[in-house]
This record gives sequence, structure tokens and C-alpha cells, in this order.
Amino acid sequence: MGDNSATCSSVYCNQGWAEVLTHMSPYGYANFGVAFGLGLSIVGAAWGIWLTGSSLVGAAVKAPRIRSKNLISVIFCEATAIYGVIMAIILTNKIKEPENPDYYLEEGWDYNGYYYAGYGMFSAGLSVGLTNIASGVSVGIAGSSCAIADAQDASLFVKILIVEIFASALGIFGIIVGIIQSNACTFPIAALG
Amino acid sequence: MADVPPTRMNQQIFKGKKKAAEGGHKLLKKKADALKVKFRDYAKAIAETKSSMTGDSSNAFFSMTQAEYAAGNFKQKVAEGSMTARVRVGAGVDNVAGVKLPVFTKYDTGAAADNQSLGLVGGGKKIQNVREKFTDLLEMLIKLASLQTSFQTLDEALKVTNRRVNALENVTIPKIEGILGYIARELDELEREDFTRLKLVQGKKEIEIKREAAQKAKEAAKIMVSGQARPKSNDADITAAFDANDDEDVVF
Amino acid sequence: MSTPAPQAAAGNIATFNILHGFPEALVRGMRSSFLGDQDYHHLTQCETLDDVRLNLTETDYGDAIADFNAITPAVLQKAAIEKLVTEFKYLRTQSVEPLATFLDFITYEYMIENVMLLLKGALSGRDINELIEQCHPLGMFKESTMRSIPTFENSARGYADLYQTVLVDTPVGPYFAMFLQESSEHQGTDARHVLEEVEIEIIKSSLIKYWIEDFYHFVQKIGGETADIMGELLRVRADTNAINITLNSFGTPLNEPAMRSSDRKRLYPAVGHLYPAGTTELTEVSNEEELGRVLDLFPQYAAIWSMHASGGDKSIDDVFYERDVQSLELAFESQFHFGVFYAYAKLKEQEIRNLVWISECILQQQKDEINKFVPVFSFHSPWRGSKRR
Repeated sequence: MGDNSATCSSVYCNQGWAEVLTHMSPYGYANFGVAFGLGLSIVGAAWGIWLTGSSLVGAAVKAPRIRSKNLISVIFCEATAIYGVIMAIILTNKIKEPENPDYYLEEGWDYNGYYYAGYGMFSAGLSVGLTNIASGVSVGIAGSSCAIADAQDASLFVKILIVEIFASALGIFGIIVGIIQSNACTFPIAALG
Repeated sequence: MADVPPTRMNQQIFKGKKKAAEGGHKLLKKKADALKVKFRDYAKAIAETKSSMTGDSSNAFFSMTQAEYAAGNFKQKVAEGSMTARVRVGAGVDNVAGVKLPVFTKYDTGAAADNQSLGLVGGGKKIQNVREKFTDLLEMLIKLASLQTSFQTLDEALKVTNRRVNALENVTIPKIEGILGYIARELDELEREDFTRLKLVQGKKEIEIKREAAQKAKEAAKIMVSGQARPKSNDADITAAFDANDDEDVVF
Repeated sequence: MSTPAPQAAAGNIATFNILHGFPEALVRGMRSSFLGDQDYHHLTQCETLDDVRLNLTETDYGDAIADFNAITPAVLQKAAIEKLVTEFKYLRTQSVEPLATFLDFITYEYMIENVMLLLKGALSGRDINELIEQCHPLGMFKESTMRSIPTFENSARGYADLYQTVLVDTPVGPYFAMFLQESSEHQGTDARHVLEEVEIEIIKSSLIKYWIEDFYHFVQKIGGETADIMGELLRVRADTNAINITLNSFGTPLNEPAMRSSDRKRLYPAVGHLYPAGTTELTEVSNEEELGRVLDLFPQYAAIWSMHASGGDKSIDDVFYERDVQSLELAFESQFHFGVFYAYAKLKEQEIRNLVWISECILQQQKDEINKFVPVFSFHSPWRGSKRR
């Protein structure tokens, strides 16, 4: 591979892996941002629900009273998925087609704004997605403990719920930062003046 | 009573019997007293053993509970162990006032102790404790069995002796005394009968003597009349007048 | 013996629940079925066993004893064990690897007991059905194994066959094989003679030793939290066994100088805090005083030993039980590990012991002793503050 890349001197030849960043369309980046943001958030939510759910079902065998109360842990996990959906919608709305779609971009196209928007949305998606995985797993773990603790002693429910709220807040950090990140990203739709 | 002939010999025999009966009565009474003392001793010992055993046995069984708490259920393991007896009970004999009393004693057969490491991974000391407690309990039980059997034997012996004493006192001796009284009464009666008879004979004899004397006087008067035939006839008839066969012998 | 590696990892905090969350939550839910301080208080106030029964109907044991009109300690024990076995089997059916193997390991301990009972009983010519009755239900073998046992003829040949074809295939067969191999290497006798000559308790202790070692290696291979918590429980268990074996061997042939280094040493598990330095020292011990000197070197056991040596109210078994309950309760303090399953089974066992103890005390009118048990999850335990929550 090294030999081939060394012999290729044409501008159309790939110069290395670093070119992945520059050679991919900002539209692609933006849409990947949406995909990662939503997908990872949902992975986090699902993971959390799985962790909570299995414990909740098990603990409810001996203490059936916990089953509706502890659904709140599942809802907290669900919330991370909703953050992902919100972010995905926001980001999707920001992806705008050029006014005159053609095979080539127009002369005087705002390449800086173009790449800025693509990278920004990609990162915003990743920020939200990764924080939501972390948030989802931690809410799930706390929720699992909450169900087990509640089954033993109902007075522990509220206390552990607070822990869960903090874990859930992690996802909010992600979405706030994600929104801020994506705020400045506007896809140019036409060539500059 | 009536079938005893009221003779002097029988009187002698019954006097002997009475003496023997009284002697026997005295001895039996002594024996009964001795047995009674022993009986009381045993009763006391049994009461003591029993009262101490209630505590000991509940202790022993409780120690078992403790051991099962510590070592789990080990009964089956004991049951599966070798079944050679390490302790056997031997029977001996004790003699109290002629009564043979059984005495049970425990002795070790010398068989090797098995299950020594029972409760090795826990509770061994507790099981050891159970072993000691139950060995003690077994000893007590053997003692109690020995006492109880002796007690029963003694009870039986005491009853028999008392019955004998009472029989001698209330039946045999009064009966002998009755017979003796009867014999004495009968003998007295016989004596009186003889006396009357003798009196009667004597009276008759006197009449006869008087008559003969009168006859002699008549004859003497006749001899005096006739001469000297009187002495001769007097010599010849002096024994003839008392024939030995005329009277019955008087036997006293 | 090579301990089989677990077929899958138990998982860490984020992945444990994927496979084992349900059974773990189940067993933690079952924790609420333990008798509480209140229940124990009511039970110890009972005058008759009928009162005990009445009090138990209010607790988790209500269903288990509902069928009995009158209870005796033996009936109560049987019912309680049945209940534990039902719960345990339920957990077992809900579990997947490696938890399933872990739960099986817990039952091996009882299986060892059962194998011993069956073999020894069969050797002394007992009726096999009667023996099966007496087996611990938690250590029951497969139905087919059970059924095949009575088919063997009642002779030396039959027992050799029984061992070679059936018992070897049971999960505890490998431990047995190891013991027999070691013994025959040691004394040059064949399997049957070993079974006849060696005391049942010593064989059992050897098998338990292999079991602890095997179990320990298994949990170490599972790794993670399980290795930490369960490993500690098993290390302590191994030490307890070593100390108890030494202590209980005094006054038996096992304490003879020749036996100490050969037979007694072989009973010490090769895991635990005492291994290897402590067990080596224990080999030389010949009386309580020397044992105390050795244990003084190990702070955690020095405290326990001083309780025993001071000749106080508590025997060493009581102290060990107390310590066990404490460490088993601690296993419940941490989530996402397998230790709770073992702890649950063992704590339930302790609870059954307590119940039997209480009912025996009531039956035998030993009211003074009735409180000498170790309550499980009690707020009055010495290691907990007296403050309620």
C-alpha cells in the first residue's frame, strides 16, 4: 500500500487515511452525526432498560408492589433515547440542500462554512450519542439497584431515585453541548455573494 | 383339729411344733425388718437417681441439640458406623438377708471407638460433649435398672416374708395352740373319767369287803362253833379274793 | 484436577445484568423472606410448638408448614429444607452459564455428603431406598443416577461397579477419584478397602477440601467482583475448615505425630489466608495451646481464638457461625456478583438451624439457651450499630 501511495502523484489519488476527513462530503458527515447521535442514544437507552428491566422483573417476583413505581427508572432510560431523537431532529433540520443542485458545487461556494457545518454536526451527534450511552448505562445500573433496594425497603426508593436523576442529568449535559455545537452550523445553500 | 388323737405323744409333738413356729416367726420377723430397711434404702436410691436423671437426660439430649446446631445432622453417620458394642452390661448377684438381688454393671468390651473424627469440620467438641453426657446417662440408666430390678425382687421377697410372718402369727401358731388346748382338755376329761370309775370300783369293793367280812364273821362264828378249821381257810383264800384279772389296769 | 473454565464471563457492572440480572434480583428479592428480629422475638416467646407453628404461618414459611397439623423440630427442618431446595431449584432453572455452573458448585457440597452416605450405607448393607430418603435434597443426583443405584447387587463386586459406573459420572466423582488415587498412592490399598477402612468423616473432609479448592479456582476464573467476594468467602471457609480440623483432631488418632503430617495435613485446603504458611504450622500443632500460638499470627483468627480460649459462653462453632453470617451478609452489600447466591443458600441454612434450635429449646424446655443462635440480617447483630437505619 505504501509503495502504491508513494507512486501515485495525481491529485485524484488518496494520500492516506487522513484524507477520509477531507474527502468525505460534509453532507455525509452531518447525516452520520444524526445517525450516531440517535443510534448511540438508543443503544444507551436500550442498555439501561435492559439492566433495569431484568432486575426489576426479578425483584418484583417477591415484591410485586415495586413494579409500577420502578417503571420510572425505565422512563429515565427512555429519556436518553428521547434526547437522541430531539438532537437528531434538530440536526436533520439543519441539513439543507444547495439551491441549484448540480454535479459540481457552484463557483465561490462557502467551503469553510460547508465543512464547518459538516464537522460540527458530526461532533454534535457524537457528543450526544456518547454521553447518552454513558447516561443510559449509568441510569440503568442505578435503576437496577433502585429496584432491588426498593424491594427490600420502600424508603430507599426516593433516595436512589435522586442518584438516578443525577445519572440522567449526564445525558442533558450532552444534549446541551450538542445543541450549542450545532447552533453555529448552517449549511451554505448558495455561492457567496 | 379333730383328727389329731388327743394323746400325750401328740401333745409333745405339738409342743415342739409350737416352739419351732415361734422360733421361725421370730426369725422371719427379723428378716422382714431387714428387708424393709433395704427396701427403703433402695426406694430412696431410686428416687434420688430418678430425680437426678431427669436433669441429666434433658442435659444430654440438649447437648445433642447443641451438637446438631454446630455440626449438622450426624445421626445417620453414627448409624452407618460399625455396629460393634463398646459397652456391655453384665449381671451379678447381691445377697440381702437371703434374697438374691441382681446387680447390673457396665463394662467396656474394648472395641475400638469409631466415629472419633465426627464433626471434624465443625462441632467436634460439641459431639465429644454429647458422647460424654450420654455415657454418663448410660451409667445412670444401668444403675437405675439395677436398682429397679432389685427393688422389685425385694418387694416380692418382702411380701412373701410378711405373708409368712403373718401366716405364722395369725394362722399356724393359733392353730397349734388350739390343738394343744384341745389335747389338754381331752386328757383332763379322760383323767376325770378314770377317777370316777376308780371311785365307783372302790365303792363296790368296799361293799364286797363288808359282805365278805360279814360272811367271815359268820363263818368264824361257825368255826368257833365247829372247831379249828378257821385259820386254814383264811390262809388259802386271801389272794383268791383279789383276782388280778378282775380289774382293768389304770393307765395314767 | 483442572477446574473447567467458565463458559462465559460473568460480566462487569454494565454487562452483568444482561445475563444474570433476573436471577440476581430474584435472590435479592428472596432476601426479604428471612425471618426478622420481630419474628425471632415472637418465636422465642413461644411456649409450645403449636405456638411456633402459628407464628410461622405469618412468615414466609407459612406455605411450607401449612400441610402439617403438628410440627416437631424434625418436621420443621424437613419442611424448611424443602422450601430452600424449591427456591434454589427455581434459581437454578432461571440461570445461564456461568451462573448455572456456579449454582451447581454450591450443590456439590451436599452431593459429597450424599455420596458418602450412599457408599458407606451400601457397604454396611443398608436398604438403598432408605438411604436415598436420608439424602440431602439439595445434593440429589440426576433421576437416572438415583434410579440406577438400587440395581447394583449387594456384594463387593456390586459396589465396585456402583462406584466405577455411576458415582464416577456424578459431578463429585472427580473429587472422589482424586481422593482414592491419593489414598492408594499413600497406603497402597485399593478403592474398596479405602472406603471400608477410612472413617467417613475423613473421606468427607478430603472431598470437601477438593471441592473448596475447585470452587475457588472456578470463581477466580470467573473473575471480577465475583472473584473478590466469593473468593474471600471461600478463603475464609477454607481457613475455618483447617482450624476446625486441627481443633477437632485433638484426642483422636489424627493427632498422633505420624498422622499429623501425613493424614491431617492432607485435609487442609490449599487455598485461604492460612495457606501455605499457616497450614504448615498447623501441621505441627498437637494441642490447643500450640494452636492458639499459631493463630495468634493471624489477626482475624486471633480474635476468634481468644473467644474460644477464654472459655466464655460461646463455643468456637458459635463464633465461626457469627463470623460466617457477618461475611455472608456483606456479600449482599455489593451488586453484580455471584456471591449472593452462595450467601443466600448459606444464610438460609443458618436460619433453618436457628429454627430447629428454637423449636428444640421450646420442646426441651431450655428457655435459658433459646437466644443462643445467630439471627440473619438482624439489626441487633454486634457488627451493626444498634441504631435502626
